[in-house]
Amino acid sequence: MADAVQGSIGHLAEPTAPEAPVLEDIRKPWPARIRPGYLAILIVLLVFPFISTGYPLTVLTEVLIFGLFAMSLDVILGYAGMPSFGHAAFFGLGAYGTAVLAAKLGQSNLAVTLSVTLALTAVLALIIGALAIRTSGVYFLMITLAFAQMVYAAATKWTPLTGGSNGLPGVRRPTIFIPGIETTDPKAFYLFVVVVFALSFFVLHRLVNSPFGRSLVGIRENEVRMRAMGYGVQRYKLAAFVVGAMFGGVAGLLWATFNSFISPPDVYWTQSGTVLLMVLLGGSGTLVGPVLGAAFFQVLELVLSSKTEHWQIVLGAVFVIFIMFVRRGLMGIWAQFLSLRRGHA
Amino acid sequence: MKMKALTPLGGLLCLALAACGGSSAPASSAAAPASAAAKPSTAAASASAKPAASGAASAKPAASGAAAASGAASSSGPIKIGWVSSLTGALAPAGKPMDNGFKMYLAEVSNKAGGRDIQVITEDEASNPKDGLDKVKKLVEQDKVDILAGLILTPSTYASIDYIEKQAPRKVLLVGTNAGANDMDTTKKSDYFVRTAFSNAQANYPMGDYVFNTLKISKVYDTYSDFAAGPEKVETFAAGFKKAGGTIVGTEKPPFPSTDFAAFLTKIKASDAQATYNFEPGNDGVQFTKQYAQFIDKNKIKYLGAGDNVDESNLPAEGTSAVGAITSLHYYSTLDNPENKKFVDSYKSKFGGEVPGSFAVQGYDGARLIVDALNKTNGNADPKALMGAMLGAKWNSPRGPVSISPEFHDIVQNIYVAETQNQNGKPVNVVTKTFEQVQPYIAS
Amino acid sequence: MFSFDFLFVQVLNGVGYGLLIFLLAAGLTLIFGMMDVINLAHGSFYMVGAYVGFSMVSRTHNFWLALVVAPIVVGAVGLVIETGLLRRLYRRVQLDQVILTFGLAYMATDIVKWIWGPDVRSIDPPAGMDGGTDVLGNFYPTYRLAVIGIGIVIALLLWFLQRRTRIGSIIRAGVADKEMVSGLGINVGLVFSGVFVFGAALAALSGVVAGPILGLYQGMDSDTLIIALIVVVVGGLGTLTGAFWGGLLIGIADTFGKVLIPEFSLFLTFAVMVVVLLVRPTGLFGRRLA
Repeated sequence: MADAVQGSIGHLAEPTAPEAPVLEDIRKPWPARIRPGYLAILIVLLVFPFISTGYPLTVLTEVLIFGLFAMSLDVILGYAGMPSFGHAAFFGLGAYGTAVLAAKLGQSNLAVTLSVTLALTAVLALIIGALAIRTSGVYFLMITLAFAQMVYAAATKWTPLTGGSNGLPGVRRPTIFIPGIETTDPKAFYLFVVVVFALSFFVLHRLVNSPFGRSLVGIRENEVRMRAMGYGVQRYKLAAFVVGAMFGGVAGLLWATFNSFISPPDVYWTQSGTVLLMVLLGGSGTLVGPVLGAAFFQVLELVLSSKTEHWQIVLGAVFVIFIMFVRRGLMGIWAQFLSLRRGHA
Repeated sequence: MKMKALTPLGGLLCLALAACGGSSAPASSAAAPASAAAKPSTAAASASAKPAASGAASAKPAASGAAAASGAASSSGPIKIGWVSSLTGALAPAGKPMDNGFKMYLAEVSNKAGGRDIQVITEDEASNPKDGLDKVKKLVEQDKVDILAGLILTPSTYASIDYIEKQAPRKVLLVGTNAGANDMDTTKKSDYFVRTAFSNAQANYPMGDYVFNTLKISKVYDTYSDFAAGPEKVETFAAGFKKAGGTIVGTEKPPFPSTDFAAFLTKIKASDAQATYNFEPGNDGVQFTKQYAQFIDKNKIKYLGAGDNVDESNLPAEGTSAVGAITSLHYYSTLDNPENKKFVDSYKSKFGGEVPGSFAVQGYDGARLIVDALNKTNGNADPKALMGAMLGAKWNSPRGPVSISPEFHDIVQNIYVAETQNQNGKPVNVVTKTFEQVQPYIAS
Repeated sequence: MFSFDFLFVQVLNGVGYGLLIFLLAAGLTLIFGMMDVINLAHGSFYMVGAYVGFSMVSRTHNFWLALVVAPIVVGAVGLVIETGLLRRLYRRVQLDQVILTFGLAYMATDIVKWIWGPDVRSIDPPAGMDGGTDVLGNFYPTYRLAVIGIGIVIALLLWFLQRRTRIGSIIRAGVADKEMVSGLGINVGLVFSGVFVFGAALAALSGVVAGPILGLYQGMDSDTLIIALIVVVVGGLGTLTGAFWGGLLIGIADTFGKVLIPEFSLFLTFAVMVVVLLVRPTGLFGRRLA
């Protein structure tokens, strides 16, 4: 049973012939160079604040932050095949670490907060990973949940440090030493987020397309064979776990500084569930998919909850309908679209 | 050129834009139909320094000058109130009545104030600070509301005050109608925040003296969930109690959420306490009360606590298990004053026989404060003008006479002690004592 | 303070709570074990069962009737879901089923709120069980003793069904090796539907039983889901024995955690789970697949 879960995660290609090849196409290791399409998107993102500010900018900033969060989980879930239900722990650690520095200790220098975030999440991921990776499938799911809940418990109970259940307000925006740019300005902060997001995407993209990344996929697809071939499977998985955790922490840093505030619900297991859902909706194992999933979920929830008190029924129905008709997430829809085009070419 | 990946990420942007464009049609709630005001007053409209149609008594030239640049409060057309409450999630039992009370008052004044119509844009806090802050941002940045009100959660309120002070593109006044954190009177006090709810200390500190000197109880076992207002309410009681001479024989902090208190109740029973003082939010409070009745004889160990435990939203589920509780709160539905009679009857007839509790009256008074202030400023919704009108405001609420303290930006009100009695098989809170005009902040 | 009486009552507390969460988890572990389905709507079945029970008890004041009707109602809903929706996803990856059940759970939360309102509700214990009983000199709530009784009866019933009936052996075989069972000519599809419906009904039953103690409130579905997941994982997927002993373990650990280290009792349940999984990565009674 555990193996069934293990083997089926990220198993986007199924034995239905027409669809499989196209999706393989997308999920084949992409060329190491960055496609021009991505650069075009980056330019659009950079130009956006000069077209529209105010609320759309706020929403887009949030989407990018959660997009980064979802991407980081994709490394663990989509590429390495480990279903983590505790990713909010790293998000929370990055957020709280930054918050304590910036709100309580007055330290908002980005170099400091970023290093602390990366260090803390790496250490925690090593500890949790070393213990959790002994299990797999649903058991891994629950162990990661357990550890994340312990982080939540710490956030809620350690009131002198974390503000307890009331959270920590007053988190100062990062100071980034580019003269004339104050990240307290929404435009400047947004651009800062875009830069962080783009850099992270670049790094992760290179990572998952490197031999390391391909080994992860190999491990996900058939761990036994990889082990037989001599790969240190546990080490690879742990490395993926730590990488995913670190970028999750960065997303947390962005989140805490965006809101100038952090509170325990952001570390609760429902947050882990939400980001998991975003990855699945977008299409796991594609890096881009989870970002779309994040956008889809965030925007949908915001729009629906403004329109009706019964937004949960609508949102739930959307998920149900989505999953009944869409097989591999939003990227799956994209793949079908491409295959249709190719068919007509 | 490979355009493969362009469209998915482009789709991301389109979604974001479409959504923001789409959601500019606000979900106005039924209670405030925008009647005659066809012309939406946006920042653009107020940029012209034309005097307000209702008479230019509001001479605040500096405000409208700066307003023009940043798009501040509108000066004509309907006044937009951004109202945020928890309509879904674990706190919906509090958020719904608060919403009902707020809208009910506005309906009583026909949705008019200061010579202008009132338009309410309702958003759901979803019992979650992330949503609370998101909606506040949307209301300020997208809907460009003139005033903000509501918020059930303390973290939402903290974050919103911070946002208004530091990041919001324009300043908006927030009227807090629930979060009772004590430091909002002191360290977190703001020029843009005023509270019509209560402070956690307000209802619980006076109980300390009352329990020791009037009820003649000297040993109390504290219990509360280490979450939200728990520590503040119960520890303030403990401070008052100890000052009067009492002893706290034990403190239990059940985790939140909890549904089973058997272990803790067994501990309390085994102690030499004469009473328990308890506060648990929401369902925890209901289960604690019910299980208390099953495990402990209230004649041996009295059940004392924050009146929130026996609020109208909890009583039906608690039933007779609540009988014997002695609690204190700023409002009980059984208060005997003309305002309250009218309030309760009106609420019951509007909302299917439901009896209003403290959340409903907090929303109701929040609306009243806003309306009264707008009447005083003649429809000027500039935050500084409104704050000026709100501080020192007095009125007769269903809770009794209340006023807004200029020093604390918080409500000064009566605090009542009530005993829950069995009347025809139903639990009813009967008021036994009134502390007059208690300040929100009590230096201890 | 730690007198015999005190400890005895706490043991009763722990066992009662443990049996209660065994009931919560039983349906989930069956569905997991037999169908490989992570049913995130399990908490919803529990919740709907409890609310249906509430309505029935408010109207008829007959607890036992509610105990029969609620599982039937929820079982029917489960049947509709399984045949209409879930069935089509069996050949898909497991996480797709997660999204389906998650979406359904989301809808259920709001539908329940729409019908019954957001306020906290309560189910009265059956007549006569409202007060306390003397147990070895201690005054203990009668209904909690009844829960212990009900829990043991149901545990025995399930054990009997599992070990001594044909359908039970089919299910045990299916948990171990689905293909084989199908190869033996048994209509696995029918068995799946049956298991799902039974699991849903069991969840609803536990909702009615737990109602008088745990209450009905917004958020009960996710709270219950987490506890059930923990018990199932600690006990071992697909094994009722595991759910039973896992439940008792967690129940007692939780209760004594509250007695001894209340500050950390939140941690404790999860810590127990982590320790169990580290020692036995597939749970106490879980099967290791070769």
